[in-house]
Amino acid sequence: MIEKSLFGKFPISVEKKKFEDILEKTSQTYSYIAYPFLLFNRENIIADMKDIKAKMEDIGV
Amino acid sequence: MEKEKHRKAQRIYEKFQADAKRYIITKKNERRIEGLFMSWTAKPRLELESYQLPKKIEFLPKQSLFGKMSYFEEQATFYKFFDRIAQTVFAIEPLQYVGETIIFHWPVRKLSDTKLLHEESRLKMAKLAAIDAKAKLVEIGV
Repeated sequence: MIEKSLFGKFPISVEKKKFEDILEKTSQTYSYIAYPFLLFNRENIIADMKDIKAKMEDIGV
Repeated sequence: MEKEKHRKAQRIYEKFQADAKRYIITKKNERRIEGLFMSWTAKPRLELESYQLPKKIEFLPKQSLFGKMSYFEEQATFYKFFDRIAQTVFAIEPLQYVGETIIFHWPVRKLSDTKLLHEESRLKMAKLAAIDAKAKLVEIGV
């Protein structure tokens, strides 16, 4: 277990949890954009992607 | 606790694998996947609902979400972002995820090597993967 945080804004355990959340949300968003035959709300997908980016910026990436 | 973390990792991994195999739409497999989906929609309504698909099915225009890349390039780049984020998470704390399945089936070989790397190297690798992941989002235009 690495004790040192990658980006120095949060303890590693918190940082890791945040990355896990990003991974889960990315997985969900990817499923939406990868079903090209269903009419998902494009605006929601775009909002999800922006949220993922905001979460990364929050970590300090 | 360890088992729960491992199960969570397993779920993420399995979903990732399923997405990779079934839903990456390339110009080559587009028609095949479209055919597969059409055969789903031909199922009786009740059965269709069991797949939790929306009742109204329409075709999403194959348009890029952010307009910086083509539809296919954007999907591929987002997939790479997904891959790099997975690498980041697994490189931060690999020992909890070194299950047999992940070691032998994870598509990125580097990932299964992470447990062999010195802690500082893993830290560096995780950080670079995270930075690269973000760069991919920027590339898409998010």
